[in-house]
Amino acid sequence: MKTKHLLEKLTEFLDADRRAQMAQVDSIEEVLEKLEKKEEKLRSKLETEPDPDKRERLEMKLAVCQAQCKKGVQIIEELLGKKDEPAN
Amino acid sequence: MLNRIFLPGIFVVLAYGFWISPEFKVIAAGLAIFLFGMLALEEGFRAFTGGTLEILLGKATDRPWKSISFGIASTTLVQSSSLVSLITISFLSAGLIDLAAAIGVVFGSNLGTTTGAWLVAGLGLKVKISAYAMPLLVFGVLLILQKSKALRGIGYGLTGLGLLFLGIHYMKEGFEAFRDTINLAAYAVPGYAGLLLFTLIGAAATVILQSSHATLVLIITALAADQITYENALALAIGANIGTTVTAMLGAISANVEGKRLAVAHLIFNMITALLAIAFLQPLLWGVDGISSAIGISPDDHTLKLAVFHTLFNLVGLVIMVPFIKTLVGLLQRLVLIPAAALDQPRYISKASIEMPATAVESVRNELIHLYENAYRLISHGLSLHRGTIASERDLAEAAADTSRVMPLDIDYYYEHYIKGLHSAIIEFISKAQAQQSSERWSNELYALRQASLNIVEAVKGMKHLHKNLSRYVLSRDPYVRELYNEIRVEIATVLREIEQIRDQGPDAETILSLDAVRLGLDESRRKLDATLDEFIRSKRITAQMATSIMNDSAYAYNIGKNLDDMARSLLSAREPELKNAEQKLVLDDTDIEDVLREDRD
Repeated sequence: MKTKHLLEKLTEFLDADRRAQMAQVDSIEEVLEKLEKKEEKLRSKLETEPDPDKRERLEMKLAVCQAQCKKGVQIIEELLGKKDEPAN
Repeated sequence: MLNRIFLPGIFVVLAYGFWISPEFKVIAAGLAIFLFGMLALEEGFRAFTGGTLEILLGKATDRPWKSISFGIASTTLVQSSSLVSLITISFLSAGLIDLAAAIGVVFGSNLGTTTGAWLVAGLGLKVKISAYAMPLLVFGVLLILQKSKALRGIGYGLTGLGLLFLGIHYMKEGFEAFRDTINLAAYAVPGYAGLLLFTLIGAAATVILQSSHATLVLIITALAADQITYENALALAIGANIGTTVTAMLGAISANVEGKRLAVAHLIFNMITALLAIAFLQPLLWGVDGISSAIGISPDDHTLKLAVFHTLFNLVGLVIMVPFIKTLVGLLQRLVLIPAAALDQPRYISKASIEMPATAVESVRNELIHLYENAYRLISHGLSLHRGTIASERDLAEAAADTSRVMPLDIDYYYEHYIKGLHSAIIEFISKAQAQQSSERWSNELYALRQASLNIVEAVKGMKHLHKNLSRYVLSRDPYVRELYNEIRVEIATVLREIEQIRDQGPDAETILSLDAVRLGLDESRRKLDATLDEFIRSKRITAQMATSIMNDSAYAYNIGKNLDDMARSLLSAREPELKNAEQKLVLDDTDIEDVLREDRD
């Protein structure tokens, strides 16, 4: 079991493609973190904004932010999904 | 002009020297090999610039003691104060470090360069270093022939080191052979007259050799062969410190005003240090004797004592001058002024920052921000909105409706003086920088920045077209026309506000992904404006002629917004390639935006 674990680690180390994918995942997660913070800010602004025009603009920004988050999560899932695929 | 007379003169003197003395030929060849070794060593370290060295310099200069330590350590490592000075000038010119930090590095570098004397006096003369030179040269050249940039860099470094060793060996041999035929020490001049004369000779030799390091090696090898006296060698070392500033001053000619200030700081430091060394020579010599006996240097080991002296007087200068760095910065800012010019001059791009890719890109980025700030001022004035209002939280529609006067703006004058010249300088710099870059990454970055510069100019040109009607209708008595033009103003001001927000929060907190909302907002504004316009035409609130003018102006406004958006995406994206790549992956494409709009309407 221990040897198997070591072998897995070694394969992972030698697999440059997978490491590049994981680096991509890390970077996207970093951007997602920023987007989540932005989303929080927009939500709290929206709660206190009485002006309908400004609310409309905030809602649009929120929608964009959510769409970007969704896109990011999808890309991460794709990248991680590749990792789980059995090797040919 | 000077070179046309000077260079042939040196050739004639050297040729005559070679003809009458084979020993002189050996010394001169040793010196030439040594200098070539320094060039190779510099080339080797250059391979590692464009990343590591820049990151180190940026991080290691936020405190005075850090910048001084960085100067000492980097110069000790690369054995070339000129390379460290060059990188510092290019960083300073590019606006990556401030003048105080750069002065700290140069002061530290002056002390770091004294380690060269220790290496030559302690190691070069004591062991047969030519034996080490041969394998270094062989391994070095083999590595130079490799494709990898890093291996080539190491190759140049090793070859440089090998050539340095070989050069020292030949200089040593030459002086020893010289001793058998002629005794230069017979020309020694004692007392203060000798001190001043040899200081001048040391300075002149350094100006000719363009390296205080090389002069020091020449002095040490001559001293080891008893061709000069210890007293005169001390004076030559002081002179070398003065001479090296001439090289720095020549290097600063092509630098911008900050680079020139740094060169003057270097000159002031070295002149004061040299004057102190001359004035307090005797106490310094007592100090040298004390240190030498404490660390076990024998009283007659003049070469090592020279190394102690060289370090000591530079250290004394450093200790005296460091508390005055801030005063020096203030003095230089008053003394070396930004030339008053009719046209706005580039602040960051200069010849000094063109060679190293990371620095070149960073200086273009800073210059583009300078250009953008000029454009921002022009566009906001053109909209008759204060920049303070745009950057504030105030409702822009309300601010536009409250406008009581059109801001005066000679847009052609402003364009000629604050935009066109800067844009041309940026484009010229990028073209030259691209010609020097072989790396695809830097080349792509420069290309994107060139587009950003074009975007800024396009936005300004759009404003030129729009301005005429805007200034005419901002205060129109017709409320419908005024309303439509106010919508156009708000559309552009909103883009500017979003860009300012991204700039304010910096790349650590904000991402260019916020610009997706800007683009969506632009599309929405245009759609709404078109709808309002249609309604006004149908209800005959405005004439069809007026409507077409507004349609044209709406197109200009859209293009201004689009160009500003494109500019911001290039200029304000994350610096790290991985993060930039991640941001680009998450940018919403047209289909995504359609989806957002559809969900928004539902």
